[in-house]
Amino acid sequence: MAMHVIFPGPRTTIQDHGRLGFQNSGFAPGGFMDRVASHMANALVDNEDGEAVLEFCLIGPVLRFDEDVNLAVCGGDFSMDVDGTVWPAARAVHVPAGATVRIRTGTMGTYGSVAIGGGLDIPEIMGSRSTNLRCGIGGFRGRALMAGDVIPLRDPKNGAEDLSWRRVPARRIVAPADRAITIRVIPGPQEDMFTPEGVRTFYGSSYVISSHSDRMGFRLNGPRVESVRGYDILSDGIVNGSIQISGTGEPIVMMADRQTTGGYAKIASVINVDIPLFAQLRPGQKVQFEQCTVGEAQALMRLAAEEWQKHRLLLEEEAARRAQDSLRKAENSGAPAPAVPVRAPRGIVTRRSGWARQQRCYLKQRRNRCR
Amino acid sequence: MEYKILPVGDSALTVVFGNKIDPETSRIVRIARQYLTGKQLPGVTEYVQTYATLMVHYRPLEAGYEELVARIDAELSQMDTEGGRMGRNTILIPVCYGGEYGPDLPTVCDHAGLSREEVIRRHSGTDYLIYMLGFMPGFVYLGGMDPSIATPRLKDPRERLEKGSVGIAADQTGIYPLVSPGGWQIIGRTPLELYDPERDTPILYEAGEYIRFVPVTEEEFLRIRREVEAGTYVYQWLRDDPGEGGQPGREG
Repeated sequence: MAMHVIFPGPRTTIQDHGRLGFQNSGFAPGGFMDRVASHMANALVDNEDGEAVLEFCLIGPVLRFDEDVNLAVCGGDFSMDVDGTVWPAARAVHVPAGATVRIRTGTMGTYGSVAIGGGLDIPEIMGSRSTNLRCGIGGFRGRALMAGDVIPLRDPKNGAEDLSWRRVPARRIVAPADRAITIRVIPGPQEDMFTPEGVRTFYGSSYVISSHSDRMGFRLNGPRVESVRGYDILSDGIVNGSIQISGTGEPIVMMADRQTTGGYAKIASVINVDIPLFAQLRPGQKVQFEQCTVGEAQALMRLAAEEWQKHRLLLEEEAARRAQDSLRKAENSGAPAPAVPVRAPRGIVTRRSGWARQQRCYLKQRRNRCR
Repeated sequence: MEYKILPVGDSALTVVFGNKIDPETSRIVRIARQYLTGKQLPGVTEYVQTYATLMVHYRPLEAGYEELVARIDAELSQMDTEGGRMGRNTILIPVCYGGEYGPDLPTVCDHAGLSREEVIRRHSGTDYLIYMLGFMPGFVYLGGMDPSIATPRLKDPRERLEKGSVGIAADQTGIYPLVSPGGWQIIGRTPLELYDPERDTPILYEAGEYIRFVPVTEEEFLRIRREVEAGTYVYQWLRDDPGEGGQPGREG
């Protein structure tokens, strides 16, 4: 009833939707680098969108389970080798007990998410199972996975049902390495710290993802963005995707494990729907920034949410149809009817209820504090 | 009260109340944070207070930018920045100064040209306003240090500062809630757990409250440390608080 880590991969951590509600205390939410990939992987194995996944960076783990289990890998151009049979990303794989699962790395993408049917049995800390390496909390013992780790499964029965019919449309994910990919940004809040020439440089140049990039932020190499006088501001808030221009004049894009506040001027912020795409860029790949309005960005978010809701509904309908089929077959054969699981439909609704639960937990903590 | 609202990406906005570090701006930002928190605006997930701005994180699928700006404008026009002045809450932070806990205390004494006792007296003799938290969980940006004990950072930052280290960097003072590398002049250490994920309130204090350092001996340090580890330590607050009902916005 557990997952055995044979080989962890250099930077594999457990991540979910992150810790909300503590940024005012200096605590960044963390969580998925590629939210879309993680939601997809979870949907494939019939988990809620925000369930904790194994998130690896370029090199994935080697795993073994002592129970049948449904797995899915999404993110970059990754695939899953189960005892020598290779399965592509964006589909569920039914893995028999004792089989060795290797994640293979392809030519594109940086962060991969491995979803485990039913999730891992690890505690929630401050409303989340995400690993926060700096604080040494969350995930499995507050650290990256290590060879020999044995992590119990929360719902060992998930693997009793073969979910390998489940598919999501593979994402058209990353541009080939030799072409600059366009990432949309919303200007500000300190665009006025830069000269018109500096702003033109920022939008007119392509920048290369530096190898000094991690879950905290991606450094970019390229033309200096000229400021009016210096890059320092009175420290203010930072969001996922904030683009700071540091003292060298080069941009740093702040990511999941960023600081909550900072003192470098921010020229723009990556729009929400482009963050998963940006997170998949590899060191050496080129990026170019394009302006977008808040209205456009939010319309894109609504569109993406509707689109995703549709995919989840299709999966639900197909699951219901299959359950009916097996029920009918069982009736025809006169055998006792198998139990059909009854439960609430999944998808964005449940993701929000996860958020509501966190929010309630946060408010409770706030109340306790005031007493 | 003047302010402007700017978008920060598509899922946050910032309300800018000023552009300098001063207690009055900070007070207004705090009142706004508490007032808006109490209004439970739809779509808003959290507020982050900094020196002169209030960042509002929200879910665009529940409230669009224009809609939220209009709502915040309407709320802030109703907000009374004078009435319901907040009480002053001060947390007492015991600190063992010097020795192995504060290896840079002699440097600070030399730089200030003051005796050890005088540096400790000046460092612990003030209530420091918490302007904001950031950088790491529970890390405070404090105002109000006596300029006579200001000391430049170490030329060679240390690879490891212990949790609870109290230091000086130029005209700032602060505490490291977690083990971290750093270039601050470390003058003492507190036995308190400023950040504890298992506690009901993982971080003890918030922006707008005050910190007072209380010098303790090594014996007291060790005793408090044992109590903290056993979970029996009672955190010491000086509360000058009008009470639950008297605070604008506090938990509605």
